[in-house]
Amino acid sequence: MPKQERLVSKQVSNNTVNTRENIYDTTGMGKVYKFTLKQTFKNKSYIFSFILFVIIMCCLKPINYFTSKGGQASVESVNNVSNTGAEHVYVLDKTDIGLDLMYINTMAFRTESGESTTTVSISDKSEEELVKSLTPKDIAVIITFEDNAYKVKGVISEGSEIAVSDLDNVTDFIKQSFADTRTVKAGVTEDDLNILQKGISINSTETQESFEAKNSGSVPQSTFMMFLITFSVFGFLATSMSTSYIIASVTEEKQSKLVESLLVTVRPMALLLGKVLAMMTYVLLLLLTGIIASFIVDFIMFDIMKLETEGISTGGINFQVFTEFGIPGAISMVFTVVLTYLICSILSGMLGSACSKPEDVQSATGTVMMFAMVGYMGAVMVGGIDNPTLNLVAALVPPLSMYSLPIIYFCERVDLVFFILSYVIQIVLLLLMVRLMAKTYRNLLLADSSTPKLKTIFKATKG
Amino acid sequence: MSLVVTDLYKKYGEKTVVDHISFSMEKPGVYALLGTNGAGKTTSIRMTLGMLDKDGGSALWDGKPLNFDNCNIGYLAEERGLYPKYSLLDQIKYFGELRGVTGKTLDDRIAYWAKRLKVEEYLYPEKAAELIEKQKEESGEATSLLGKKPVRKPKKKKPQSPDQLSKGNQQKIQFLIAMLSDPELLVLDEPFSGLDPVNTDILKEVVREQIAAGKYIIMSSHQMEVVEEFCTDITILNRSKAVVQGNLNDIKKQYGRVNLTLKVEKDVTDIIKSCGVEILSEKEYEYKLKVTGDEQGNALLKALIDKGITVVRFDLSELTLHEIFVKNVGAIDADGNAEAREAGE
Repeated sequence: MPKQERLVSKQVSNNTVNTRENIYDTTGMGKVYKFTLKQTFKNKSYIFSFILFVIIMCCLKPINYFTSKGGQASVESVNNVSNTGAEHVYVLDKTDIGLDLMYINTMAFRTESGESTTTVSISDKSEEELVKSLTPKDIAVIITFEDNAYKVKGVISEGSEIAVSDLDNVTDFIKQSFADTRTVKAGVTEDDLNILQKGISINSTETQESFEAKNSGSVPQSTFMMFLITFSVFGFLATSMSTSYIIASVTEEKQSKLVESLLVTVRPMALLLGKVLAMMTYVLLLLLTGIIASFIVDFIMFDIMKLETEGISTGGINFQVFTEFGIPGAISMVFTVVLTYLICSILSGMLGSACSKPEDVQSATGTVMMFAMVGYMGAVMVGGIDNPTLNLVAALVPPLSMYSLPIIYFCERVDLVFFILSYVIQIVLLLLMVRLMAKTYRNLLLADSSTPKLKTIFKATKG
Repeated sequence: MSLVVTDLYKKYGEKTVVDHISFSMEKPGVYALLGTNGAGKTTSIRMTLGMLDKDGGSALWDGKPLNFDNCNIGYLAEERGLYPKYSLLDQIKYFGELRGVTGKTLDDRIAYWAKRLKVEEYLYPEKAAELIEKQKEESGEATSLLGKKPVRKPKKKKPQSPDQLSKGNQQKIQFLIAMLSDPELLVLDEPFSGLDPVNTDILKEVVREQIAAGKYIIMSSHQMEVVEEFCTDITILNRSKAVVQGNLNDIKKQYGRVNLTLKVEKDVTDIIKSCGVEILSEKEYEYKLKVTGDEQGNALLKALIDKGITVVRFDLSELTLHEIFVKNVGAIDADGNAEAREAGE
């Protein structure tokens, strides 16, 4: 072979042109954002998730209302013993209370026109004799006092014509009547009873706690816990809704070999941030629509239909937490959710870019969800313990702080200085992740045999 | 305009994948980057285009670092794909917009290239319906015994999703995307692989047009005969290093005219052997011979004439690009033993 053809050039480049590329350039991010958002809203599963979420948000209050009030309705239905099919109900009261038969015969076992359907009488037989004497149309209700508790049991004869459900209704009714008689004989008025039935233990605990909280100038532990759980749910929701999408989307671009065509037109930073911001818009729109829908339903139920708010459970996703601490509280909470979202999304993007096989997606999603879960569960645990040192740790250390900071601060568990310091830590963490992403994203996307591990990401900084 | 690539160097761990590769294009034309699988072609292209971090070296376009800020690049990657779930038109427009082409210009260019590359029916459903109707009419399905059926408006077909397209059509869509910005530098990595002869011709025609339009084209391919048709300059890579480089004609001249095709009407094996010429193959008195140069070829011709042999064909030619490649890279057979050897190392 001619010598001049063999090129063994080992010379060092003397090029003086600055070839360093601006890896932080975000030109084209807007176009990636627009395209991703448009495609997200064209995706049937995302539209379905959106609609489903809004429907759930709309239904939460009505469901809570009907389950709270529905319990009362079912109690009322139990009292409907007008047509049980029983001819006689024999009550054997082995206690000292003395059941009020007059009340029973006046209020129940009657048709709408007032005709008696069943005779209720007190039996003076022994328990055994009474049971033996029962006919197929009789019911025996035996009230005893055993082991420091009252017991009411209903008995029917073998081959009885009475349905078990009717037996249950009659037994429940007698039990209720016995309880009423008992309280009346104890000298308790109906008003006292109402007060007692509203839950002495809960009210007294809250009262005591509120008293202590007022003295220390902070929010009671149970309220702090409730706020913390509610707020951390939002952070977790925002993270979990977007993680799998971002990972799948990045992996799709890598595996479908689109990424090379993209990287000659847009820098990796713009490519990932456009995607992350588009997904954030989707999640925020979803939450915002959910909030608006929830408030509209509240308005219809309680302002237009004038339904009672008392006794309705506040469980589930409750957007009220955003309004509990005024505008600063709301801003802080939204800002924290956005920061949490960005940190988790960028982590998702990097892990997604390290996926080489379809099965890697699961592993990458698991890692991000584990990170989010540590933050979420940690925040809930801190709420449960409510210890000053733990509160401080949770307020300062990510990912705990990402799911708890605003609540810890606004419930006066930490001072303003730690509140600000925590945001500084979170922002620095976010910037470091952006920097890491800018350095590694392209290399990971072009690598064929990478695995979604943090070790791989750090290794990719070297090129 | 000029492209100057100097001392490109890349290492993955302990393995050097691109070892000080340099090449340049001072004027428009086609530059071919050739090599076995794993020789470093795609990595060199990625580094040249600024897609991959370089461990050393530079790629300059008109004196500035080559990237999409300084140069309008059209790139057809070797590993190509499309978003499987998004509509074709949506993603083509997305790529067009990323390349800075928008609005009516973008629509017009998409329409032009779709027609040019014969992929209109996949982008515009109404075109597909029209085409089907036209085919039916041509095959006589639209007419009945009683005469012509009333002309119906073609039904609008649902656009095809990218994963329903054949590999060749996906490749043409990718090529369309690469052409959207009317690039000044076109980088084609294995542009003809997987294409049928009809589509290969369509793409070749477009490449010819781009050459005529004064575009700079870098082409990487295993199909030597296709590269030979277009390129003026080449670099052959082997095991991450450039082993042959320069103007293709100059390289060929250096090897001389050593291929001889001889067709006669009777067996002349003895005469050929007496002249010291190597016989590569023989079929019905058509010999493929290897000579040392013009002198030995002429001596053989003289001997044949002296012995009164009728020479039907005497074709003394230079080495083909394929032969140059094989000569420099090693004994590669059509089954890709080179690949196996590379993997076994």
